[in-house]
Amino acid sequence: MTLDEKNLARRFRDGEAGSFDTLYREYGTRIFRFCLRLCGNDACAEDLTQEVFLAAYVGAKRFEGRSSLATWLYRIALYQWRNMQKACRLETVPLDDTVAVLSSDPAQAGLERITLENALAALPEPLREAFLLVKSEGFLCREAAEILGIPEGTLKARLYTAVLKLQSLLEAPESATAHQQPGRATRPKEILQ
Amino acid sequence: MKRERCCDQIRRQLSVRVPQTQPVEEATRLHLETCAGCSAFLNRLERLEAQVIAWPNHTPSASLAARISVALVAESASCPAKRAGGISRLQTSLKGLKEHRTMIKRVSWAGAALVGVLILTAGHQRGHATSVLKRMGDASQRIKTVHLIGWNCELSPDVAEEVANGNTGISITRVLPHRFEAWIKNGQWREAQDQDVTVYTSGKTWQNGVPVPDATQPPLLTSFALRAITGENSFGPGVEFTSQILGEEVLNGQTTTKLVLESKKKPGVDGVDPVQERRLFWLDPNSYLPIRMEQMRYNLDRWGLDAVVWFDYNQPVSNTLFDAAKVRMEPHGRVDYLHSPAQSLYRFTNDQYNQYTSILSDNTREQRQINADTSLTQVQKNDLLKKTAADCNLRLRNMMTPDQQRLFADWWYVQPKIMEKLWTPQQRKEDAKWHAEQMVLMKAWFASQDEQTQNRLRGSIFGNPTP
Repeated sequence: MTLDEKNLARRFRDGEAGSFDTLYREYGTRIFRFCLRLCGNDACAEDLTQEVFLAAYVGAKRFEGRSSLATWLYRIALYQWRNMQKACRLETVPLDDTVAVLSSDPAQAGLERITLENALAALPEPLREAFLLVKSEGFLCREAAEILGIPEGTLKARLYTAVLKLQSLLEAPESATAHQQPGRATRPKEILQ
Repeated sequence: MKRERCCDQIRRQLSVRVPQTQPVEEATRLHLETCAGCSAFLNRLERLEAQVIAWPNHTPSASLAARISVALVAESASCPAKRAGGISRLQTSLKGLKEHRTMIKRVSWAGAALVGVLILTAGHQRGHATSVLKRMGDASQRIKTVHLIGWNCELSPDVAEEVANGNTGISITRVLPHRFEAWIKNGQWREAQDQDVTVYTSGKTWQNGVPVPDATQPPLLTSFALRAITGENSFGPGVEFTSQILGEEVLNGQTTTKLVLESKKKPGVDGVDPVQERRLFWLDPNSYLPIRMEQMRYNLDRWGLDAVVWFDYNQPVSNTLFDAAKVRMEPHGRVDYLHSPAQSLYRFTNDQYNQYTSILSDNTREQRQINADTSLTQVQKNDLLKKTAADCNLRLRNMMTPDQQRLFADWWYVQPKIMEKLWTPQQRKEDAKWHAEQMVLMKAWFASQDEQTQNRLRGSIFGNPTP
């Protein structure tokens, strides 16, 4: 944790004025993106982000500062995500609205994105979480293991398995996505509140 | 065998690296130079990591900050123990959030206004709610006439059932708020909902001038609203509820006392999940009669607006309004209701409504121009579209009163949520097309003078309500 982070963590824990704003400013977008990758659509990701920051606000006093704020927020995000999944009843499909519009070649980027997202969606949840934390969010294995509450060795094993599975899925995109409609990413369980 | 084990270890090591930050170790690099399999593995891994890194940098919508703020206030207000220390910290926090203009666009400005009201009211506990409630009930006994205008915002039961059954092809016209207006005098009722008029007098009911044999009760919506005032079975027989004074609020220039009633969870009907309801009143502090009421229900993990009602009392009401045989359908507000809840729900004046449509037209035109401009990259287009939307929202804000802003924010928050849940983009496109066609029919219906043509058009419009 940098000095700034330590300082923010202390201010937040003490309920100091303005600290929540800073927390949101620093981590809001990161947490939103992580949520988006977990649940696959903007609306659900925003709901999840809201739950994360609400839980952080409510539980500020319980934050002991032993981990970094980022680690703590990601842990909350995963906890809230799992709760959401438990509560979800219906399956829906995230839509192509969020496909990569910022790429230099939007059409191609969209195809790659769908393929990668489909492959990720096909992974079991523990593998997907491990993969996203390290490869997308840039956490070290030690930190990711802390977030997930598992031993580092287990995290590494999950990550390796996730990489192998993704490689095999992405090498055969037709077979992996044959059952899906073109242009749609699917998830085994999607939130429909 | 030894080689395979070595390769497995190497691939594991490579797999757990953080992309772009952890270099390949020297020993691993030497192995890669001599092992084609591991080298190919690394290539595939790097391609995979490159795809992940290339993920677009999505940002949360501008309204998210305000939504979180509102949720925090609601959380603080719902837990008195936290409130004492929480509100002051929150007020300062929210102020900071509001300063981030990039976060604040369409909903957030009005959301922030709502937050302000919530903070203000949550922080001031005055008076005794139960005595205020009793005074309201007593005052209601002395009412001679009532004129009320309201909007029923909840999903109708048939739509809710269809959603529960997984039907996503639901028309927008079925989820917009329904306007109703009613007059009550000496036990006589006249209720207009959309274009249908129901009259109740002497225990009998007529709809559009035609007797309804089985209907022997006053119209449902208005009788519910009146029961809410009198305090008679506020949430149904035997349902416990709490009451609380939330303080004062200025409503249309008049100081009001805000009272909230909240039911305990009560059993749903026919195995439906238990429901919890909340009723907000804005009371005239002199008469203790409500000027406005909002009915809310806890559903889908949030409090949603079911109905809004405005009351006016003891104004002259002509008896001819209750002359059942003469009552016919009235077309008031139907086009506006279909086009947008703007004029009816937000109570726009004609001038405001013209401004509103003009602003939205300008925005649509600007969006089209930007999208059609081939000299712009997609990134530039996105930036311009965001700026255009922000300008549009600022103009909308400036033309509304604070009360209208709050309703507008509520509805603009609720409606996209409904649409996201119900429709795929293709369905949304189809619905928009169908809706445009309906608008043409609707205008023709009101423009036509010939009754036969009117009936035919009405049949076309209402006979096939879904696209």
